[in-house]
Amino acid sequence: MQILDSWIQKTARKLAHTTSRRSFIGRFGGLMVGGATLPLLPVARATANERPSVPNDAGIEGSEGDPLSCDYWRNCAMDGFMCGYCGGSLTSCPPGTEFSPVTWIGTCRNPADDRDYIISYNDCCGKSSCNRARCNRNEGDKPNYLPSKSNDIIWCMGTSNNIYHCTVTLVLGLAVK
Amino acid sequence: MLLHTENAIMNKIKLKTVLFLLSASLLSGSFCFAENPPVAIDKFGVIESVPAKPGPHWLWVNDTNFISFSDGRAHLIDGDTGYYFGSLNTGYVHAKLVLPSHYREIYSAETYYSRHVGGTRSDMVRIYDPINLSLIDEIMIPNKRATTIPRTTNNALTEDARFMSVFNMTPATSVSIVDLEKREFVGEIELPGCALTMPAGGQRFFSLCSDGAALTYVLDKEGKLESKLRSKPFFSVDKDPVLENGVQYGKLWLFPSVEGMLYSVDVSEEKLKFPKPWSLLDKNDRSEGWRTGGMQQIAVNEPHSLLYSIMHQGPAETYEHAGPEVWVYDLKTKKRIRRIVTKRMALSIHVSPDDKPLLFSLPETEPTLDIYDALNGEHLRSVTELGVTPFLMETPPYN
Repeated sequence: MQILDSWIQKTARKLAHTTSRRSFIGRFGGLMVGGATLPLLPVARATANERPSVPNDAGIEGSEGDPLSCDYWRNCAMDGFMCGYCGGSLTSCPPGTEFSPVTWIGTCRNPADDRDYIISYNDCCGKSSCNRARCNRNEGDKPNYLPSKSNDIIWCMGTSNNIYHCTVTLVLGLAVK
Repeated sequence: MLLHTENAIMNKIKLKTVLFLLSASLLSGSFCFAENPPVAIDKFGVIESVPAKPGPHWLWVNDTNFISFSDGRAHLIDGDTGYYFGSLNTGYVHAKLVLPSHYREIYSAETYYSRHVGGTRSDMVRIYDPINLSLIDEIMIPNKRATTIPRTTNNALTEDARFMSVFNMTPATSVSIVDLEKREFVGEIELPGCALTMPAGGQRFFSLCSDGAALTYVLDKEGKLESKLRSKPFFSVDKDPVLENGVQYGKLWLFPSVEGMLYSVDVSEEKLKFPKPWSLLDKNDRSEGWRTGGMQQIAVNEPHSLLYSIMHQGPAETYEHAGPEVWVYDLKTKKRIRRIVTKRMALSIHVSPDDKPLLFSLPETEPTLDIYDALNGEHLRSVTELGVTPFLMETPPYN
């Protein structure tokens, strides 16, 4: 499984870095589901060590630069409770919850450098709804028949249970068109 | 001393007067008892039941309870009076009840955890009595039931109501088929690249696929897969995806799209047909930024051939937003005939299926059901304090 995991990670990462959102959907939409093993994509391995650097958000004016705001640029495809209000942060789960390794992926434009980034929206699981700071933006969100692009799915998958608590927002890398 | 004696006499007179008045009052009281019997002693332990024959304006309101997903419910309302008949408890991320045309039973695909938000997961189809709103039976199914923001198309029945199809997502997609007559799980049918499950007449169901196609699957007499047929794509997932909460209009399934088109799927035969889509918006509407939105976005009334659609103004990514208006279309002429400004922003709508239809609307901001005359748009009544987060609506069969 480790070899498979590692392969999936590398493949997902390479694709995320080199493929635009639209061609992503076009080429791989049909492959996302139906497999007996973990789906090929989207698999955002939140535990991966390498993390591409992003420009400092401090230079962004207004709520687009505030990680606790729904308007924050990384939240463009968000639909859920923001973990920063639930005992976690933009990128970390609240105490006692479980970090879901499988999730959906969006593409958001960073106003600081005007570039698109691949964003992974991972759910924190195992406690009932945080019910604070709901954020519903849906840029690029697709219906549930395209699960890889749908934020209406409870992505507590690969965790010990699928009870939804809140959602974090991780940068995976640049989206290259 | 004299004063004292006078006082004593006065007191005696007062006492006699009081005693006289008291006995008169008691006597008259006893006459009253004889004429009007006292309030009857209440019977202990009475439990109500729901009338056996639903009316055309009854409504099941499915409540997903976003505040505590583990505690889903469904509420039964009489739209004519706003009367609350009762409720069912339906477990984690409840989508909707499944109501057979015979309505002798109610079916519901449910998920529970042994420790409320942890422990062992159990998925099942539960069977309820529609009169006593009590549990009759349950059938265990694989722990794969899709837990998503609910769609009306997450569960379906065959036409004879013998088999139920429950949509699964792990995220691999499939359906669990349940034999409701034998009370057993039959098996799983994989839906590679496709999702949701909708009845298509007879023993058929269909799903929507990630490339814009539809997949038909047919059950044999035992509920096992007999055949599968995948269509060519009939819409563009990338440019203008259809929304999943389709509604039935005769042999057609109607789906609104993000860009305000209405797509149809003709399910008369196993090989599906796709009549030409038409626009719910004219040039002017589009220039003003109008768009279909909400969760249960459209509704149909067949006797009048009317389509209702929640409308709001905003860019494509607002397609789940509530709308301030419901637009009404004649499905025969494909023309808009009315705009209804709703009392509260509408997130989900439903229309009763009779010839004097009611329009039901749920807002996003409060657990209230707004009820309108569906033909002239007049607001009739509202039902407040309706559960936690009521979400999807359906009419129990009433004939």
